[in-house]
Amino acid sequence: MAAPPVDQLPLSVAVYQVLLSLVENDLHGYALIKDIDTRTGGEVRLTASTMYGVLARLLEGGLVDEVPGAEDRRRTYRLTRTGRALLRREAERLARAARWAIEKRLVPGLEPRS
Amino acid sequence: MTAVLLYVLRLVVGLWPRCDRQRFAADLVAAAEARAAEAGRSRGPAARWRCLLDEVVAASGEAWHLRRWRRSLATSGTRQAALAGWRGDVVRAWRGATRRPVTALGITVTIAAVVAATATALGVATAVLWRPLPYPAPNRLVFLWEAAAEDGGAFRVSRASAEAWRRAASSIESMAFFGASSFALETPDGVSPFRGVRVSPGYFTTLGARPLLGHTLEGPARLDEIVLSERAWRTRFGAAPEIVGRTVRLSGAPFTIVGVMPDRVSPGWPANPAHIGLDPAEREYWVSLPPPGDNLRSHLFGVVARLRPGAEATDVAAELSAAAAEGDGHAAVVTAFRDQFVHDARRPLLVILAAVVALLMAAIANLAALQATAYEQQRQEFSVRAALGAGRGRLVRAIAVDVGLHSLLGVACGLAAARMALAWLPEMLPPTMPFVTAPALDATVVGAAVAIGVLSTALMAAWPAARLLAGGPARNSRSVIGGRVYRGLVVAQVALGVASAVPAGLLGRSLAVVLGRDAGFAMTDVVVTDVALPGPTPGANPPMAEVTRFETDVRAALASRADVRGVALAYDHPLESNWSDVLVLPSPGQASDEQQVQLRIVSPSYFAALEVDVLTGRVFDDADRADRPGLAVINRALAERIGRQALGLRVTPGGPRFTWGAAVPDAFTVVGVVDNERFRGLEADAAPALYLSTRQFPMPEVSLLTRTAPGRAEAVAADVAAIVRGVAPVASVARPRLLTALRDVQLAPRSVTARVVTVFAAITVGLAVLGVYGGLAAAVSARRREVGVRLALGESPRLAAGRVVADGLATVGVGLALGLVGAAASGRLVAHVLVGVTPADPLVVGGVMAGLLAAAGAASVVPAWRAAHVDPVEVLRAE
Repeated sequence: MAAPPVDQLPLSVAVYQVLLSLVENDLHGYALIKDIDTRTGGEVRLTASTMYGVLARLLEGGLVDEVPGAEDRRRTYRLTRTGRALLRREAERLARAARWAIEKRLVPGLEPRS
Repeated sequence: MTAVLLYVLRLVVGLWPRCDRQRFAADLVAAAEARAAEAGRSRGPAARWRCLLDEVVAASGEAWHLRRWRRSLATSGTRQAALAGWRGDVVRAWRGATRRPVTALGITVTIAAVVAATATALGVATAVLWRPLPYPAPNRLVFLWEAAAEDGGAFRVSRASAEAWRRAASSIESMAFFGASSFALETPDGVSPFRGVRVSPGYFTTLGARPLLGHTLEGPARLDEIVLSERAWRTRFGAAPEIVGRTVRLSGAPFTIVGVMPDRVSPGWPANPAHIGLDPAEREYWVSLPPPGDNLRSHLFGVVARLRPGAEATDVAAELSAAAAEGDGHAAVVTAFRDQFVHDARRPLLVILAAVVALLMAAIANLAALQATAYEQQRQEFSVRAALGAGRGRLVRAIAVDVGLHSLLGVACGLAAARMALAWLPEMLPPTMPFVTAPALDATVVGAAVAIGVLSTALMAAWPAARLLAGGPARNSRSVIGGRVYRGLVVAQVALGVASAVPAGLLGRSLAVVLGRDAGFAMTDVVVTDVALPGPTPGANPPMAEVTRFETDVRAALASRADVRGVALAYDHPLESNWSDVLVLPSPGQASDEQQVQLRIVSPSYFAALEVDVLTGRVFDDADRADRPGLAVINRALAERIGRQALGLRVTPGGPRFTWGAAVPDAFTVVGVVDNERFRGLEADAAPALYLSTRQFPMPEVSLLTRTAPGRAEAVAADVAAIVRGVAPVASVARPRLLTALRDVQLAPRSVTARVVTVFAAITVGLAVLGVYGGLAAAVSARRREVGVRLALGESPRLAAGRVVADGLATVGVGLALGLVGAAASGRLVAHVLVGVTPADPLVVGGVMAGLLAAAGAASVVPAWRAAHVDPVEVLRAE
């Protein structure tokens, strides 16, 4: 099977947020949109089309699995082991980037650890 | 409005790829509706509509992106599937090769050998015949010679003729003449011979040659300037970077090095008849010709000219011949630059290329047969794969990959071997081989090698592929072994073996005839040492008495050795003749008769030392001094040419008086006739010759000829230089050589051609014999059941074996018959170089046929033995 484009770092903002939302729970489509909106304080707002487009790529790349919904007809999505590993690598990369900026005292209110 | 926007959203989502549409459409619309409802609740209906509009726009964008993405997935998936298929074939081919290493190695080595042979032969042919010469507009460069009146041959040019041509020829853009030069190079280690070329102004300009360092000899001639060859610069002066401007002493005189020329073919050392040597040892330097003195009519020079654009060689020849009366009265012979060096090499090279083509065809036939056998062995595997769904095209591809892998390895190994061979060849072969450009693996040769690899792949795969496409790998289909096509391949190999072995045999026999010819003088155990006595000034001769004394003393010094049988001096050694002259023979009552003859200046001891037969009269002795009446000896060829009693004839060659003036006789009386010497080499007939004694015509530059006891030549050669220097410490002494070695250098083109063609023919015959063996072995293997049943029914093992041998001999017989036809054609190809042998020589043809028949018989032994030892019980049990 061809490798999906989303497994290449860096991840896009939409992909990163979708994977992050699935870290603790399996969620359906609209719940993902809500979770991202709430967690980012409205900074990242995905349309349903964008979100499902991302899900299509994540499913093709094996980063997310589809779980049939138990009570209603809506499908839920679960983070796979591959997706979790990829997300962890991206988070580590972002953390490194943030640390370099903090060391440069670029971010007001954030001081480097002594 | 909400409903309209939702409707539009559904329409746009309908543009998504089907799999995504089916999977997400319902949830997407529901989620979009929920978002819009929430936005409407918090911010009013406008916010709801705006949200839905955002969804429509996002959905249309995603439709485009998703379609593009799905398309790229499909393409790479197909490509990946295809790559996976090819990869699988390569892996299977590799595994197959490791399972049958002998067959795989045989195929690869055969291809490598054929590619190496073809690439090497083509590389040499390209270097000699086709690669552009390293001069601008080389097609306009020609050599000019004077034509001999009686036989139309050509010989060296006199300055008078060269100057007349220069004045008369309007079609010549520039011209220069050149001659031999030799000095004694003085180094801290002693004195050594140094040979080069004397050139007139314009030599380098005519060629268009540029120096590697410094400048050339242009402008007014400076007699104390010298240009080195790159070879001399590297070997004698250690490639010193500051060589330009250095002073060297040559024969006691200082010369300034003004430049270094790159090593490339260039005119030097002209020799009769119209020959220019390629030995780099004779082109180590260039110096200017001194102004002409009285030697305007001495035929010592070669002439190189550059024609004007558009001028033809025939026009030039006519123009120059019209000016002949102003020179020496001889017409001009115009030879293209390249032809001068390679004319004699064209046909031998074509013969070698023909041998290579025969080898190539035999190898391909052999490989096709091998592949057919391998195909039979893999028949079950192919059947299984076909049953599992592999189409014919798929199986054909598998075969093509299998043979392509062998071809790729074979071509790579063959090219590597050819590269090494082309680098070694100029070093291994005599320096007289006409490598006018350096042999190299260039684009043409590599392209030819790759084409051979592709051709062999295609032909090897063609037959099994054709069988698969026709009927598939059916389990019970008839084996190809022993079939018509298979037999045809074996017959073809045998026929090619005969067609290539016959010319090889003819060339070999011809070489043996030439080597066995009576040279007219002793050839073995003769040491040749070139010696030059320096004069008081460069270019001047030493005193005549000194030359004569040197001859007497050196002969005595060498003759005192117990292992020396005879010592002589001669201007040319017995296999060389550079001096021609026109004799004026008196005829009573008629105009004088002019004869072009070779002038041979020899010591009185020459005829005895070299065992030249004296036919009538006498030869020279030491009492025939310069102050006595001149005496001459002629050879049988000149006596026959004269056609009357030769003894007592008086002749007047121009050489002696020109060199020594009145100190020597000007007319010579013929006192003896000796047998012919083949002084033009063993391949040429003897020419008329006049002999004069060194006592009456001393030579400061001579070849010292020492005939030794059998087997002592090498030992004497090691001591000659020291002995000569003991007699004349200032003499320049060249490295001694054996006369047989000089003979071998002269015969190198013939012997090299014979050897190369023989090697190729041997490989072709070997492939043919292998093909016979392989065919019989495979036939026995394929018909094992039949043989076992026959044995079980009572047939004797001897009969079973005899059937195999008869089968093999019958196939070979057909091949031999066809081979005879091919041999007739290939024999004609070499007819022009044969000496003492006809193209249909029965000894050679009969020998080749008998040899191949015997080899085929030998190749049948093992398969016949196997057939005789098939176990009928085992065969029947398997049934």
